[in-house]
Amino acid sequence: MASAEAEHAEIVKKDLFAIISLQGSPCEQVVSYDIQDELDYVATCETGDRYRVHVSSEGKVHVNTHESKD
Amino acid sequence: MRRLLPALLVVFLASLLTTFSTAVPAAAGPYSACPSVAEEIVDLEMLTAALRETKAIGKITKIRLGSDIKKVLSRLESWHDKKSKFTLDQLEEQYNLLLMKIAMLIHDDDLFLHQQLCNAWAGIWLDLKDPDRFRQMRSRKGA
Repeated sequence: MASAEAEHAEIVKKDLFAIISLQGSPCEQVVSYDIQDELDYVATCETGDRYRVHVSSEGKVHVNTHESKD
Repeated sequence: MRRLLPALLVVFLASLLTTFSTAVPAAAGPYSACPSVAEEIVDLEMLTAALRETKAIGKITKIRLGSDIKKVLSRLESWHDKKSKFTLDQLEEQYNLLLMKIAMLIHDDDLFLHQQLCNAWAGIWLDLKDPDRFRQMRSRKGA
């Protein structure tokens, strides 16, 4: 079961990378992500850059640079 | 006192109005306020047909998207056959990410399709996770 979770996480990372790339933001690879809310992620790229990827109430996908609070 | 009553009533009504007008609105979730559209997309077949037609996406990207849609459908088919390694929650997340990619691709160049997608987002998932509706869809496709 753990391998299915790992495989799922890889799918999520790959899709987040695709979405960030479509926005034109620099990211070589998404190495980790946190779920903030429904359809609301913070993805961390290999470079350490972090992006918030979320869907608005109008269905628009936003990719914004995420400033770490820590 | 009789003269004061109307004034007190006005103050009371004004305070009521202020309370309601400044009340915090319900949190707006993703795709909860989609613009209404004249022609709705009601299922995945309509969505894939619309994606084939749109000029917002290039040919190669359309082929890739088609492949991504097939993968999600194949995983869902396994889930309906009780052979899936993924949970339904994981499959829903994969579906949502697929639609996020599509939304990202079409928003700037095909706003109408984007609005249709926004309206269809939740409904298509309900179809996909329902065993009967999923099988009907697959049999229509002749898969």
